[in-house]
Amino acid sequence: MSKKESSFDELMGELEGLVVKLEGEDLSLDQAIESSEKALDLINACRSRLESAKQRIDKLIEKADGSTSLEPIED
Amino acid sequence: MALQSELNTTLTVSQLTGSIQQTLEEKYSAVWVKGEVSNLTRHSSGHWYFSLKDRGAQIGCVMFRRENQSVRFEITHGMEVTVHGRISVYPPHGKYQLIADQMLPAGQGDLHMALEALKKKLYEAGAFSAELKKNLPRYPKKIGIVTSPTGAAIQDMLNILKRRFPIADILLYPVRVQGDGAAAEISHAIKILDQRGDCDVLIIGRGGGSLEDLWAFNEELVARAILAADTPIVSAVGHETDTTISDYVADQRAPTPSAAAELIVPDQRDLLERYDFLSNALRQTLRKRILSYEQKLDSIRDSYALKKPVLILDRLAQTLDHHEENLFRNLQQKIREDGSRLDLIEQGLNAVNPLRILERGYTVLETPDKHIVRSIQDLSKGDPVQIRVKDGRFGARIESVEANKK
Repeated sequence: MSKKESSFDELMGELEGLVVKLEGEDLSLDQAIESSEKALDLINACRSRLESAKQRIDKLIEKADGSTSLEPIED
Repeated sequence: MALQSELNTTLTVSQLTGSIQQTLEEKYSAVWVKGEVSNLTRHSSGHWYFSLKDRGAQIGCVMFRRENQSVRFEITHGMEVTVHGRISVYPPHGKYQLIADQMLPAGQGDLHMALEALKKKLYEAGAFSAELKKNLPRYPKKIGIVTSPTGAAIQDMLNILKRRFPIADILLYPVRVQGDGAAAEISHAIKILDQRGDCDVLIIGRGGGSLEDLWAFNEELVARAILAADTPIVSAVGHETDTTISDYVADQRAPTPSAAAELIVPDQRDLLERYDFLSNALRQTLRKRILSYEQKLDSIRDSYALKKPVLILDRLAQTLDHHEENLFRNLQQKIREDGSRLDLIEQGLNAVNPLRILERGYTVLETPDKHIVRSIQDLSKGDPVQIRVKDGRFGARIESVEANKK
């Protein structure tokens, strides 16, 4: 991907849009193949996001002067 | 004169009582009153009759069965309680009483009244309006949590969020959730997290406790912070049965902190299942689609015209032959039919041919200018005539003319 990596929400949105299109519209074979391939790519992307997710958990520490810092929480 | 005019405005007892009834019942249609329970009678009908009193006064009360069933503590004589209800006047006895519909132990009653007052104020200011509610993100990137860093609530939430949707990062703002200053800490935390802008949803909450323990979430300070935030907020305070002001003003209420965690993220197992289903469905649909195109192609390829054009020509030629044959046969038939008709005509003609008559021995008499003689009028004595027989003619003269006798 050229730009900033899409968020999970964006990937899901795109996937759902394609599914709706594939279910609803009368696509030509070329369009259907193209959309299906794209949807399958998106599914794989979402799946690998989930499977490789490393959740970051931080605690926000506020100092007396009002400045804040983050401190990772180990669980 | 004064007496006279006063007499004119004199009321009957019923009129006066009716007026008192209207005034009292309108003014005290919903009141909270605190006092000591005395003269408690639990009637066999299930209704409760008692008085509420303090050092200076007392008031008769009734709490009907339907309402007293929801009183969750044992009331006893001398107990301090807070009661909600309405004043009712009973004209036949000239008495008024309080028809109670809620009852709380006194200490809780104070908090409850404060809560009700704030709820009313915020409600009237439109703070609970559905239009203010923001939608929660479907797949949050980062979740802010305002709660105590110790205790079961945060641990439950972290466990659930990790299990269900590890994609979402978590930012905890640790606060005290009860005691003096808790409301200030909570509202400050909401403000800070909202200003950072990196969380796309906030959970504020704590585990279960008494009404006093949960009190910070009933304070206006917290309610205002929730209302002011641009980030969607889920309020998750106590157990299912606890409802706090924060629940009303938040964009979404969750019955418990765990429920909040389940509410704001999807379960990755559902998602993975859905991916499997979807990719199967997509592949299958595509396969079906391609198959149907293939079949269409096959059927075109196998079609009569494309496969054997010669066959069509053959068939055309055959048809042509067939027509030709038919035509020929029809013509012959026609010719045959016409021929036999000719024979018939010939026979008919022969029957009337005068030459055939001559053959049978008849003769024909003609004048010299070839008129056939049919009557005695046609000739006179001495006229020349011609007599035709089958093989020639005679010339002759008329000897006599004689008419037939009638």
